[in-house]
Amino acid sequence: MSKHIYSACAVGVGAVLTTPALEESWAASCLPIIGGHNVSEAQNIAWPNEADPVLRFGLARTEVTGRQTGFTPGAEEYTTSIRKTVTNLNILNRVKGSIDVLFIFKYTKGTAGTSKQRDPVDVSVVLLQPLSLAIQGVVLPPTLGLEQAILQNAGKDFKKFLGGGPESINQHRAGTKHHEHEHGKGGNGGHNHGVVFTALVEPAASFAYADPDFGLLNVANLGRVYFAEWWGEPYRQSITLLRIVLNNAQDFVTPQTAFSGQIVIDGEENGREFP
Amino acid sequence: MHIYSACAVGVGAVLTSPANAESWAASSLPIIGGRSVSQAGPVDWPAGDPVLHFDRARTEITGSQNGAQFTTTIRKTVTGLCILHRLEGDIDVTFTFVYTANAVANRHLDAVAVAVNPAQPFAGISIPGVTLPAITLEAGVFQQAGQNFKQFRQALQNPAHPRAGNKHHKHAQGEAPGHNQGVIFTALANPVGSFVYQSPDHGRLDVPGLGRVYFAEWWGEPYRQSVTLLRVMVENSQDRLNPAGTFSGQIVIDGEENGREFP
Repeated sequence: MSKHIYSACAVGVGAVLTTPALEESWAASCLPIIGGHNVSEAQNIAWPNEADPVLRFGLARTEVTGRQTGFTPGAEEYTTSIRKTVTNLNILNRVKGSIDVLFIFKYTKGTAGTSKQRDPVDVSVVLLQPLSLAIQGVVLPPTLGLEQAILQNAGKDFKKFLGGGPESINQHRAGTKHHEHEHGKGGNGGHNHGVVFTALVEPAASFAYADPDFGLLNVANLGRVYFAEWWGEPYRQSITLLRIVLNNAQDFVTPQTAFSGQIVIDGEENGREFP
Repeated sequence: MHIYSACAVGVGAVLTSPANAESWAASSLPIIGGRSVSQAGPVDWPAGDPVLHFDRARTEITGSQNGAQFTTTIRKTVTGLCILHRLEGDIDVTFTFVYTANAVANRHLDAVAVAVNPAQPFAGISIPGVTLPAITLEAGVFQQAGQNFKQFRQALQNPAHPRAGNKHHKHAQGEAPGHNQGVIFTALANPVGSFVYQSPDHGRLDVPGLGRVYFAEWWGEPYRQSVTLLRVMVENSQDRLNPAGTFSGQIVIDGEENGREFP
């Protein structure tokens, strides 16, 4: 039978520490291949303990939905949405903020030949609240945005996105501002399926974009903060809204344990048609 | 860095009649690995006249590193599953993916060793009125696809391959002059002769009074495999013991794994 295979997942907050060795994640959602709805939330977390937490948040919530939204024969439309909400995030009193973002992927079943991407995916990002982040000792740009042309062009026609035309990745993240993975290339063992890595955060000039680091901000006494890392391939996009690499970091207000490891807020979408 | 990627749904349901959708016990691994676990149950859904009951659904995903090897495990447990008293039982399956990162120059040939336990994951499932065979999973699919996807695609051309011919489907988007990324669809359920394998239906069993049941549908591409352990298409079906409402729609137990290296 012909069907649309939905695929989307999200993690509210995830943490893997190397010092001390600890790991946990909260508010994970995953959409069944048949679509529908999945939601998960966690509230009032102080981890690993209230006395000396590396991480606090008031609410982490993810919600993924998938449903058919267009019914024209031969041009059916399937919409997947991922909403991610994290409030009162506090990492060692050095990173604070709230995030409330909605990603929408509209997959339209097309009739074009296989010489191009058969089915376009219209991708959009809605900031339900302006990105609100503060990093102790750092002056962030007054407005943080996401380069939506990358999402849109990769979703519309990945082959053109890899090419040199106006829809190309090189129009927005040229040269070492993106990475084309070798397993996405030709040659012995190559698959030609084109995996591209970069970050979406704008203004790009405020962050390090030097392969393999994208959307990077080095923060003294904390470590490295990556904003809106993105990777995509045909019919699949992944966005890590925030990844913080801790390097022997202590709480800014009440320094106790020195933490190393990573904390992320991530998610991805990758529905497709069968056959 | 290694980008972990794995997710699972304990049980998911989308009904078209009556229109309703819900899912339970979903897990998703952060890209940095670690763990994600979720459980739900007991559940009767929808309330009053349920199409679906289970005592417990639980998924647990872990991702960890040991040198150049990155191991992802997905354990999926559903106990006391009952769909209209027409499909009943328990499932407890663990998928293990061990990704070995080569030197950067050969990274597109990184091998993924895939294992599934137990060997007969559907041993606890029964369908009243139907004698199910001892269902095993075709290791020649998930192991070859993980080991070297390009060779796997070539092996499917051999008529002796257990999923040769119309027992698999190569997606148009994966073929030249498309993206050449090679998306393959089939099912893992053996013995092949006990199920319908006729593209685009793979691993299908038609069950009078219930609808269509698909066992271990699988699709893969380089560095990515998805297994839907069970997909039940309910077609104007009523509870076998307490017929009341008539239901249509789908119920699934699914999940996938797709970690990769960067850069």
